[in-house]
Amino acid sequence: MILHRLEVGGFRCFSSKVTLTLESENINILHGKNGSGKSSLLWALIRGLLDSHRAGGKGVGALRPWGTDLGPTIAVEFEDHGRRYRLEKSFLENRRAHLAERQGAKFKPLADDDKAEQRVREILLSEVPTVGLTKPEKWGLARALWCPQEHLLVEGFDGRVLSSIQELLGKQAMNEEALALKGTVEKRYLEYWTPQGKPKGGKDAPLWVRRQADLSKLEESLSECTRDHEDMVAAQETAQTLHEERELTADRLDQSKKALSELQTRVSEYAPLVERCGKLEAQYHQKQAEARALDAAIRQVADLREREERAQTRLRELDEKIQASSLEEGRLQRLLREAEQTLQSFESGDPKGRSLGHLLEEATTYMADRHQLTALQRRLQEIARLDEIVRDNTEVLNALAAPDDGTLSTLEHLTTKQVQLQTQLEGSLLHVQLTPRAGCRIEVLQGSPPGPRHLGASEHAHVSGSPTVELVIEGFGRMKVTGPQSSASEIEQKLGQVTKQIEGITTRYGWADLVELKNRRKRATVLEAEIAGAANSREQLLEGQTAEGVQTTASRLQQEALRIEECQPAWRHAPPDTTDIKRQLEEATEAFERRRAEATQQWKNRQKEMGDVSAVLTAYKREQEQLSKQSIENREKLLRFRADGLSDADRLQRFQSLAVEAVGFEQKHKEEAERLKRMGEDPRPLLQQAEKDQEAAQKAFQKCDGALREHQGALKKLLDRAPYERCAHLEEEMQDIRGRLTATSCRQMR
Amino acid sequence: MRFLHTADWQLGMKAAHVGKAGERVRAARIETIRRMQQVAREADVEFVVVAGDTFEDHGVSRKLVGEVGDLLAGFDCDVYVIPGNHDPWTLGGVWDYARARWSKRVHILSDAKPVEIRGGWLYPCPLSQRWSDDDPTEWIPRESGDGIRIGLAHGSLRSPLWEGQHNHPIAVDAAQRSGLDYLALGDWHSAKEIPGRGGIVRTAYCGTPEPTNFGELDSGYVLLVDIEARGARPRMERRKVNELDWWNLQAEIHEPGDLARLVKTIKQRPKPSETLVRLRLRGVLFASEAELVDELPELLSKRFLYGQVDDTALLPDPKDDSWIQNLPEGFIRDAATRIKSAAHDDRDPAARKALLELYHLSNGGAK
Repeated sequence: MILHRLEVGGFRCFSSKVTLTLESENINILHGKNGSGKSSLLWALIRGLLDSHRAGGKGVGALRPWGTDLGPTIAVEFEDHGRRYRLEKSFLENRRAHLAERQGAKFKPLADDDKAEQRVREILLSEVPTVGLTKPEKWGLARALWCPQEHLLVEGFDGRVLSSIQELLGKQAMNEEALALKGTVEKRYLEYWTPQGKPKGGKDAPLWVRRQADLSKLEESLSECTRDHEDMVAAQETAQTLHEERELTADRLDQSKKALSELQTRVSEYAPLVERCGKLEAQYHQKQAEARALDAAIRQVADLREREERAQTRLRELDEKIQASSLEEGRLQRLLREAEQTLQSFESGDPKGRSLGHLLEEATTYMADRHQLTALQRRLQEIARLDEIVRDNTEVLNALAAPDDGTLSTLEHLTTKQVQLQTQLEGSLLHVQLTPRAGCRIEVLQGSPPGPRHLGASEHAHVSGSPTVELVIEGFGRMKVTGPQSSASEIEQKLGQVTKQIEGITTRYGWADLVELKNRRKRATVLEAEIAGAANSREQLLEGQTAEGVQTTASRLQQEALRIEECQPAWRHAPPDTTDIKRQLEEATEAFERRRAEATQQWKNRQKEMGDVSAVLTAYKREQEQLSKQSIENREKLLRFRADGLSDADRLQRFQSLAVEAVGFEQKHKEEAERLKRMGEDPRPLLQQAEKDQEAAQKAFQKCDGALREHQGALKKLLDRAPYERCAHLEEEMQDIRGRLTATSCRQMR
Repeated sequence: MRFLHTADWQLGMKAAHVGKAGERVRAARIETIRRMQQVAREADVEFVVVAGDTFEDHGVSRKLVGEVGDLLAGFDCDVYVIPGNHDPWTLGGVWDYARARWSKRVHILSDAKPVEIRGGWLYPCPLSQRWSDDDPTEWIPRESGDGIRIGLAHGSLRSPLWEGQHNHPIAVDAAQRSGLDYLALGDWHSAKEIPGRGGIVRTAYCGTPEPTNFGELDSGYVLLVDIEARGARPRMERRKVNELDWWNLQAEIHEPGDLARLVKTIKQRPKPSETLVRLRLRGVLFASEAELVDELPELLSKRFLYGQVDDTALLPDPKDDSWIQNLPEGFIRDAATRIKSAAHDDRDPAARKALLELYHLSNGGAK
């Protein structure tokens, strides 16, 4: 039997259909990870070939994919004795079995259900399956073809199967040698394996199984040992690193110590030199200061003496100048008093000016009064004229009997209404015109004009009435003309009322008609405007005063003018020329001011001269005072300089001696400073830093040293375990076991 | 000046490839030191130089380090040792331990600086790391001082003809370049003298004094070096000191009887208890001798300290197909034919092994 194709669906891990196509000419290897379904495919092959499609029970139910109710379907294509078959089976759902044989390119049905399964059993020499899954004992030939995992079943073949195998394998399986080999294999097999295909365990366990177990233990030990060795190598590397770090920090510490030592040496040389240099510098400065002070004293003495001589000379000059200035000051005081008196004479003012001023004032008042009086008189005349106009026009207005605007408006309204009513009345009348061919008498019974009358030939008679005109015509009879019904009487009544109202108004104005009354109104308006204009002009002329007030003012001005005229009779005939008086006054004032300015200037000049002289005198006195004070100070200072008891010559000698000493100290200081400079930078600030550096380096070294010591302890423990040698022993032992296993395996295989 | 040049003791080495014999292999390496002492004493050497790899690893037991220290103290002269690539100088390593405990006559040279010895100067080139591309002899100054100048270094010779990977490469002309009278090298397990200018040998590997594996051609020696004066041609003498014999036996079987003769040779090998054997069989396996091949592993393992047989290169007689014809007809015989073809024509090792197994089976293996 050669398997060609397997299709599985709804089976264990295969929810959906999978197809396995096999290479019939070659060895097929199923390769995949654990759980990928290799065994399931092979189990599906067994189930499809050997189980009944009617099979049930837990075993069959367990073939469903977990958690589904899918029914397993399996299709197997195989070849037997050159014939190609396809067997399809469905379990649990739509249970069926179908066997077909390929003829040409297609499969033709051979049998279904039980018959199909019977045909397959004949091919596989298997037995009728049980209710559930078919047991291996009934698999027939399939037992030799299919060796499930851990279920190597080489026993229990029945004679039919064996003969079939022998037939399939050929004659070689049937000779005695083959049977002997079979027996040997089975015997050897049972020495090491259980009938279920598992290695024997416990006391009966074969040597190689025990060796394998030993090997596993050794492998574990070796792994542990290898880890120890790796840890040891890593720890050694770490120790080396720590050692290098420690050496580095030790070098740094040495360097920092060396640097500190060098600096300390330098400082020990540098500090005294600095001190000596400082002392020399101080001495040099001291001598230099003393020499300078002495030099300054010498110079000051000479200077004081010179200044004192100059002061005395100047004091003598000042005495003379003060005396001369005092005389000049007395003369100027006199002149100033004279100028002040002149100036005081101007304080009472100019008499001519005052006289002319008064005259000008009176002339101005007089002329103003006269001018005002004339204007008042003109105003009074105009006011009288305007009073007359008002009075005349008022009389005319009163005589005119003109209606006011409201009455006139009412009358216009009534007249318009009257015309409208008359027109309406005319429209509502029935008009009858009679023209007899011969004269006749008519009498109007109804209509207007009523009553009898006589009409000549071809004379026209007009009768009107409403609504009926009735008349009697001689020689004709009575004629009654009736028109349409209307309200002529009502209109007539309204007309009568309006007419009465009009008459009521016109009666007050002497029956004058509307036109006349309008004309009167126009005229009255003109008059009223003239009266109002005149009254308004009068009010303006009065300027808020009464006419009597104006008259009183005029009388007062008249009296004032008369009073002035009494003082200045000439002005009565010839009014005064204020311009001329003003010019005279200005000339007099100008002359007076000029004189006063001159006197003022004179006074100021005197004052200035007096001030100048006083200032000079004061300056002289101040200078005299200052020089006197300075002279006293100079003398006092000179006295103080003399207190050292040195003469000028001694002082000069002393100065020269100090100068020489200062130069000596300066030279020594320069030499020491040069030495200091040659020693380089001041090491003292660096010393402090170096001390800090050394302290830091010491700490770093101690830290590294501590870490190294600590690590060395750990490393020692690892080294004490000699991991390499342990590995060597283990590996050798394992190699030995492997060698023995190989030899044993070969022997056993043979 | 006469001194003993040795290196690559690799004490505490693993010998997993020889299984349980490993313990004996390790013990032999220690015993070899005693032999060296004997040689040194007989040759009356002035000092001994150990050119690196004294220990296989820093992870060897401290007991071993102490034991070696005791042994070294047994030399009658000064011993100068440098760390090699297997035991480079590192803190917490074997040298830390050894320096504190070993005899003062054993000088562990961890610094690359000249050491004054009687009659000259020694220029040690200690290693401080397992791998490096730097020449450890670089530092040796050129100037010629008074006395004989001896270099002591560990590394592979930088030469295109040199096999293997270069680690701590040393210039071929390092001795000439540095003006050395002799450059004692370690690392290479076989003794080898390197001729320099004018054919004068001033550089040499002494090899390991105790072989570490099969196939080491010239291992198991120390060198006795004689230098009369500065600039004189050094004279070197190999002295065998190894305890164990690593027999790398390769046998060709061409005709019936060869295998029997081989067995006889094996049985006649002296000192089997101090011999480790690796037998590689090549050629033809005749049906009449198949059983003998089966017996070989047991013969070797029982007789010798260690025995290993590699018969994968052995093939059944191609002219004799009778064993195939005796196989059951069908797939077994077909398989045998195909395997035989693959083993002979394609020289497939797996096919050879399979064919041999099948051959064994057909010749009564199943009995």
